[in-house]
Amino acid sequence: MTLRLWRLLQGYVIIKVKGPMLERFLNRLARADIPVWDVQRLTGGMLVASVSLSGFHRVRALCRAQGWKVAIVDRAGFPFIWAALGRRKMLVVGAMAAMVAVYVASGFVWFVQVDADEGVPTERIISVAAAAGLRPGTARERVDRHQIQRALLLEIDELSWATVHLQGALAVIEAVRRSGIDERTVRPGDVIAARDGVIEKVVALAGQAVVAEGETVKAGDLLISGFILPSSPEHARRIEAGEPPYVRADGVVTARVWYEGKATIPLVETVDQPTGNESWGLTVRLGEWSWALGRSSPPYDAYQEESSSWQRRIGPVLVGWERVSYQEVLRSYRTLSRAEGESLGRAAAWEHLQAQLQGRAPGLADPQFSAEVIMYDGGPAVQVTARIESIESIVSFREFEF
Amino acid sequence: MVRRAYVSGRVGRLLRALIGQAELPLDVMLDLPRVILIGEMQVQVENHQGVLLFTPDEVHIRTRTGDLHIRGERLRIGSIFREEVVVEGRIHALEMEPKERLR
Repeated sequence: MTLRLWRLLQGYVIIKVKGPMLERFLNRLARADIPVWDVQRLTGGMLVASVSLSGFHRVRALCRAQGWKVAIVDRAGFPFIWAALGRRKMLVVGAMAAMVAVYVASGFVWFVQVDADEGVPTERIISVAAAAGLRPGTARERVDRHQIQRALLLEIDELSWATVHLQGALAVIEAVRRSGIDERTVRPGDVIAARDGVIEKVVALAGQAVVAEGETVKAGDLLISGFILPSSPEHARRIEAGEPPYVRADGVVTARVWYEGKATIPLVETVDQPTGNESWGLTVRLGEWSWALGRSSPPYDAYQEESSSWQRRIGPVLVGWERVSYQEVLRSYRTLSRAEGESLGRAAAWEHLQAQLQGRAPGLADPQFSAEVIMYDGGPAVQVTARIESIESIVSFREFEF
Repeated sequence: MVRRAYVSGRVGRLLRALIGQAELPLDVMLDLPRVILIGEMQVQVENHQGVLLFTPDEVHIRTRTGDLHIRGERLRIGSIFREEVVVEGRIHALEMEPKERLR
């Protein structure tokens, strides 16, 4: 192996020798201390062998003197590779530039990966690490691992441990979630009303209730305050104990709430019967130019219109088309009685109400329906309102913004 | 000088006996060929005196004690130096043909 490597470093040629008594040729080389290897007899008068570069000149002189013919079949080894590269200077320059680029690029962090338990705020870790100086494109030597670890632990309460490893161009942030701490218990805030209602029951588990039973509240009103008011003895106690005068408010607040579903049914109904006649217009756009094909306006008195379009930006040019089709219809009008309108309206209003309840069935009693005639879209219509009452929790949490 | 003298006669026999008693290496002391066969793939011959015949089936190598005949398939000379020649290929047989005067 070492000998083979040495021969490659020195360079050698594979020669072909023709002539009589080639055994004598080999013996002469041996006696002259010219290294020769991989000798194969191809025919009676010809052999091939490998000879070092330095030995080849002596081989040629020997052959000339003895009448053997020698020719080079192949060249191998480092000197020949070097010479070939010399003829391809740009290849060498390119290879060296690539090596320098790889070397320089390896000095930077190109990827930041977070390896953490489920529930750890990955996006936040990445943003805090970026603020502390670890982001793609940062030089490896400028990454202060200890500072980043400190920043992560100080900024993100949920973490109990964090560390940063650099693996080549990849920075791995390992983080462990603080066990037994629920995120919701850490951040203080108020309990507010999720929807309008009349309070039925208030139980403050943490914080101070600011509404009483029977009060009417609107969505967003404060129900249980997370800030302990200075008038409360709890405020003074907390201050003395060195605790902040605010908590994460929690409690049970139920209220009587209403759900409403509305539907409007026009009493004059338009009935369109397609005749089967159809025409269309097409506009093709290319940048600022446009070409119109077909009809630009409908040729019918009564019609239904359908349009479709497509557009795409190719470089700086916007290309696209718009197609409008007109279907002729025979239009007639049908008048509904108020009772018919109410019946249709009840069904539609109930459907609307059900959509708001989203599968829940809170009804304290049967839904109440009310109907009135209004003007709608230029004609008479029946508006039906379905209303149902419920007692339910209206608790919603709003975190403090410091 | 010793090497030339050993080949025949009473002096030679005496020398060989002395070297044997002294447990000295015969090939070194008497310039004898050393032939090493590695599996059936390679034959190393030290202290050779030249290649007499070289074909893909047969190689004859001259040594002080006689001609070494190597028979086989796809024979080639792995390397050849003043003191050593290495024959590679598939070796079938090795045979030493003694010099006339040694018989």
